[in-house]
Amino acid sequence: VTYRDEMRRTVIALATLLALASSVAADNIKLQQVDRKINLNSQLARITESVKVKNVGTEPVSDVIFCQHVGAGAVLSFYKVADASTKGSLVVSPTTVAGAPPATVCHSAKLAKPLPAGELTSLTVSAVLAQAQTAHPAEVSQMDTQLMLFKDNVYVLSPYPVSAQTTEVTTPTSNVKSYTDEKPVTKSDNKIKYGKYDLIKPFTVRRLSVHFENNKPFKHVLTYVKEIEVSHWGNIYVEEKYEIKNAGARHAGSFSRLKYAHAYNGKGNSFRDLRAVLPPSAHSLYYVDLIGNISSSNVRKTPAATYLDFELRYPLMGGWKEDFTIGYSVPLTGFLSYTPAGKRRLTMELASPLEEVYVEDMVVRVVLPEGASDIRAILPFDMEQSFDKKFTYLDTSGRPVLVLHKAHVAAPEHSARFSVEYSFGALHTLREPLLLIGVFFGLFVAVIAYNRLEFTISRDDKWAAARDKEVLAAYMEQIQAALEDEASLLSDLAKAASRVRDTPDVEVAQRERAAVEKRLKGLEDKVAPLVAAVESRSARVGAQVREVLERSRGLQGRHAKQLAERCELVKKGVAGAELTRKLAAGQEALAAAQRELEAAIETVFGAY
Amino acid sequence: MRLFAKLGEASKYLALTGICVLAFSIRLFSVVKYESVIHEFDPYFNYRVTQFLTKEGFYEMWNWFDDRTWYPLGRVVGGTVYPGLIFTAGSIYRILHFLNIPIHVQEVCVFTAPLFSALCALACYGLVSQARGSGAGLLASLFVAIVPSYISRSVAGSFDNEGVAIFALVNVFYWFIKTVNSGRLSDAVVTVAAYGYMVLSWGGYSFIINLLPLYCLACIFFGRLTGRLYVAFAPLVAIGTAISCSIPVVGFNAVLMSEHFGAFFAFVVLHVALLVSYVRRMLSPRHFYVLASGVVAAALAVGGLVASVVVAYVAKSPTLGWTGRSMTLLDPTYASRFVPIIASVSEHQPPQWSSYLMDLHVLVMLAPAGILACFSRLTDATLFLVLYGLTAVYFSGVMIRLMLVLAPAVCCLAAVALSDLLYVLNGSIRSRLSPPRPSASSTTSTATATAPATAAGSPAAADGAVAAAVSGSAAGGKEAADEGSSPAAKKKPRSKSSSKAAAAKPLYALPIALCIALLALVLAVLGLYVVHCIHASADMYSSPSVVLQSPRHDGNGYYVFDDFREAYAWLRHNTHPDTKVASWWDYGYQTTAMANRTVIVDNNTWNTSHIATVGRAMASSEAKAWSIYRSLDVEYVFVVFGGLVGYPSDDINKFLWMVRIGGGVYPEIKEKDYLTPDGDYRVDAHGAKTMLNSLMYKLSYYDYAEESQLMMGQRGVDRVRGYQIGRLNVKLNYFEEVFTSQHWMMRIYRVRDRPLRDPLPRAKKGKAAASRRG
Repeated sequence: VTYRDEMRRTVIALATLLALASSVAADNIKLQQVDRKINLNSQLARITESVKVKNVGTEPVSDVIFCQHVGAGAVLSFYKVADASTKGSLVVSPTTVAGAPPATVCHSAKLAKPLPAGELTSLTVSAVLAQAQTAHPAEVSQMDTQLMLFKDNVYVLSPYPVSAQTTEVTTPTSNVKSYTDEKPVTKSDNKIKYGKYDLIKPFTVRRLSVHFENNKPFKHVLTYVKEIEVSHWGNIYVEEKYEIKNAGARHAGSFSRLKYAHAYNGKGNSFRDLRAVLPPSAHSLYYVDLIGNISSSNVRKTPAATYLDFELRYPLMGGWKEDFTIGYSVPLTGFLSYTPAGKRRLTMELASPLEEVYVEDMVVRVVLPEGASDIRAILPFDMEQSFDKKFTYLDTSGRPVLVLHKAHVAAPEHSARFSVEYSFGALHTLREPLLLIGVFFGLFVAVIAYNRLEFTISRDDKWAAARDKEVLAAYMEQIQAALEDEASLLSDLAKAASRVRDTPDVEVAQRERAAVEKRLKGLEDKVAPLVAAVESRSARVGAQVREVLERSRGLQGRHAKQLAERCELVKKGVAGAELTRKLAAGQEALAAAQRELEAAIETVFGAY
Repeated sequence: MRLFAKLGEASKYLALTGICVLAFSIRLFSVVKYESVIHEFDPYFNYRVTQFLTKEGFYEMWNWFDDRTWYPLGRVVGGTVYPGLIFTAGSIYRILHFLNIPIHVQEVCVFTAPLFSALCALACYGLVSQARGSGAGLLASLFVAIVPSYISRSVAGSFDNEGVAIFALVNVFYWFIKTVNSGRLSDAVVTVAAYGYMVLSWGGYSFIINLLPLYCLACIFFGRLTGRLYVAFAPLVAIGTAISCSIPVVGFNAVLMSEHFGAFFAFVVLHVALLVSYVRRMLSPRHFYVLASGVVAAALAVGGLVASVVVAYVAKSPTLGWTGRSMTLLDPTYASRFVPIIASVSEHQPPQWSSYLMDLHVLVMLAPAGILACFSRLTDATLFLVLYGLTAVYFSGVMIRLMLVLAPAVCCLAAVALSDLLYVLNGSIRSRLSPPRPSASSTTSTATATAPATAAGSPAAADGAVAAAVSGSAAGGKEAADEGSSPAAKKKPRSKSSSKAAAAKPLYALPIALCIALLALVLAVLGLYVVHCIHASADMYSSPSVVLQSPRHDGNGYYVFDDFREAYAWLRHNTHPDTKVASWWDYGYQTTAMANRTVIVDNNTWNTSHIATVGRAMASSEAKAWSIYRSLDVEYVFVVFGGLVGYPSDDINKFLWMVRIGGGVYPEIKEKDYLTPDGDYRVDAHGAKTMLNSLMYKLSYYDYAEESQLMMGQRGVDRVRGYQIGRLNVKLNYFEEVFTSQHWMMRIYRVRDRPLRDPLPRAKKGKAAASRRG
């Protein structure tokens, strides 16, 4: 016996078991009363059944099976079974039932507690069918109304016998072209009531078909990608990309803007307005597409939410497509919290914030900060999960991205919040500033190092000359600094001299002069070796420097002389204008000498 | 004193940084007032190529055959585009993405032009500080940073070649002049590289390759021939030409087209002149005379022969070897006589006088003064500025687009004039205020204190300027400038002249009141200039032209006319990806970039007959146009129509150009058929019958009478033309309206697979069938 044979046998055994189980279940359960409501007042078909389940067997029953007709092209977007009294939803899993007609989808619901024999319980089944309404005719012109065709089963499809049942179909308007006539049936305004039907056997097939006017917008989002980027510096950035289509009857023939703008029903089945309900703290909103802003949006803030009312670039007639992107930021407050275990928890809205849309394909990407680890998603319903990496501003190792994927999402049934828990060390927030600091520090260090390095290949004459020049320049700078000090000392002296007006001042001036001369002497001592050094490198420059120093000394002499003269005169008692007049010649010569000195300094030292 | 000098240096860099920031930020009005979006028409092509480049890589771009345009011919993009701008933006994008800065390629493209304007301000600083001094350089960079003419082509979003090319142009000039001043080979290498970048960026490089030879000849003529000039010029011609040959779009044009002959001529003359001067030095004057007369006689003979060969070669070409655009520059009437496509572009028209004032403002007045100032202390560099200014003035007078080349020239000249004036004024004030101690330290400090903008100018230069300008004797200044031109010998001689100047100053200083009044005037003029530039940038040149705004009547907010993008987005999403779309060529680039659909003609107007075919279709009757479009595989046709909202540059107003261009190739289209007997172009009841029957008329005014009745209460009144249109009841049998934007600015029609019903009377039927077959 090969392994393969064994497998096959196991499978067969399992299948038999399953069939047995279901037949057993079928024998044990009877649906006493089913009231079904089919609401077609939108692009979706919302079906609600309130079911009274009775256990007619001897054993307690824990699973109940419900089935739903899902026609070609249609998808079951949402399915929920709840206990009618407690409102608690039950665990539902897809299953197959032997003997079910084709195009039937069955789910098995696990009761909260097993139903004892002979007991009765009430359950509520809600299902949302997308793409279950098909346009008929499939193409309409601009002025035509849109007619849709909905198909289901007149009787509730069930593996169990149904004792009594009614069905109520609600259409958007009272304009119903045709509907299946299965007595008893009544139509009043926009409601068609079937039933009550008694004692229907399991899986009794009788096609139900309703052909009716539906001018609700068929807002069908083909792809929806939402990216949530968390920054622990205080911002959550959300960007949502949409590709939207009008899934109603296809527009055929010409599109007349004239009729669209002015004719009574010129807008046909088109839509242009959308509304997104965003968190109240949303800010920095934008609404763009591939080629720039779309300049037609309006934001309204209320304490409960931020309403973004916007128009598409152009009205979407049936079958027309368009894409756009909306984005906004919210602060961390209210969205990011700590779990008791010390992890971070991000809680956000999962589905699209747009009202009344059906999303065929939804991808939610949660970009967590660099260094986040131990990532776990807590989801309101099952989604495919995978991980990715994203590099954005100043990233080094990449940010971990949690990618969630789900097909066929209907609003508002799927609107729910989800959470992502992750561990994140506080130090990781400092990664980016430290990186910047490091880069700039490195840059400065590199520049400093470069300035101190020497890149000559060989130390030739040129190099020596350049180096000599540098050294020379350094000496010259020092000498010049000394000369500047000297000049300031001399100007002090001149000031002291000008203060001499009276005999007692003479004493003070003399003292001042002595001090200045002492310091000048010190300066000269400092300069002398420098000059010698300069001379050793360039005799020409040395001579020039000596000349300057000579002039400087001359100026000192003149200053001294001027002071002495002034003191003499003051002692003699000359004062005021007389004093100035007598000293004028000396003063002029002094000024001339000073100018000459400065010119000489400029000439000699200017180049360094 | 040293501290002051260092502070002056530091404040120079601070001012330069400030100017760069200013140059960048003054161009952001378009982003602030509108949005971060690519502007106009041509930038959309550049944007599209950049997108391709970032996606496919540099090498792929050279080989890119674009089948989305010029259907069914296509276009070899790599060989027909100046890729400098695209490479620049692509490199910036690559570098940013390498550093993990995920900026969208559109943002990179939007901000490339402002970035390069900041660089252009730096290049201008360099050029003028080579010519006159860093004070004048700072003024020039300030002027060029905010000059409206340049802003008009480099606002954020204006992703056009000019955005980087003006920087490249000034940059070449800066390095060239630097080389002429320094004679260093390393500078010459940079000059050649800068020239290579310029050739890569813009067809305007031919301006450089003509201006520099002109300058070279002028130098030889004025006796300024030096080895430094040779180092600057010879490698530029030799290696520069080799570089331009290796850029596909230029290729062998760099040696074959007449635009480049000037460079080779100057190259030869330069060598001959050097040879002559060498020989002259070797020989005694008498020997030299004998040799010269012999050589000249022989040269005349050989030269005549060569010249006649060249002339014969050139004369073979109908445009004498010049490209159409260059011919337009040499002969302003050329385009309007022979090439209606060049003439039809508004930026190829000669500018009006008012646009000089608008685009250059006070610089127009200052620039002639700048030329005088350049002559008053003529150096190699100022001679160049003068030549640049004069040639640019001529070219700008021929084509409004070349105002852009003029702008930096005028800025440099104006800066020279103004800085000389400021030096005179400040020098006078200084000498009046501190006569007893005219020492260097005090001058520096006053310079720093009184005129921060010119603080960086060294006192020596300032005094030199005062001496020169005030005394009127150019001797001292010229000496200073001559020697100042070579940086090595800069410092020492200056001080000599400074002492000289110090001596001369008190004699010629202006009265202090006059100085202060003039200073106030200068400041006022500069203030006016800044105000004007901000106004020009904010209110005139920032509109992206793909989205229009008009203020609401109640005063708050704007009406936004976003019709172009509405229609392009419609095309992009709701037609088959391989659909061919026909429109007038103005919208070709936008259609390929925004709608991603194949177009018949676009703004790269390389194939006149193709454009003429589209013009002919628009000018023909519906049935004939239908057969033309069918033969071109066109499925959608759109027209731009401004009648409902009063948008004047719509297709009805461009229609005469379509007729002219169509008529240039297809003689059956005659302009006079579309005009009233008086020669007026009208679409009202007096309009020509052919006009009212043309496809353009029908596509524009289909359904319009009812719309205007409902919107304005007047049946068929066109807001652009301001009268009632000629035919109110327009029926379309061969085309069907598939989309019209909200304000009717763009109307898209589908070419029907077969006509609605046979609209022609029986007699004409055979004829129509024949023409359809044709």
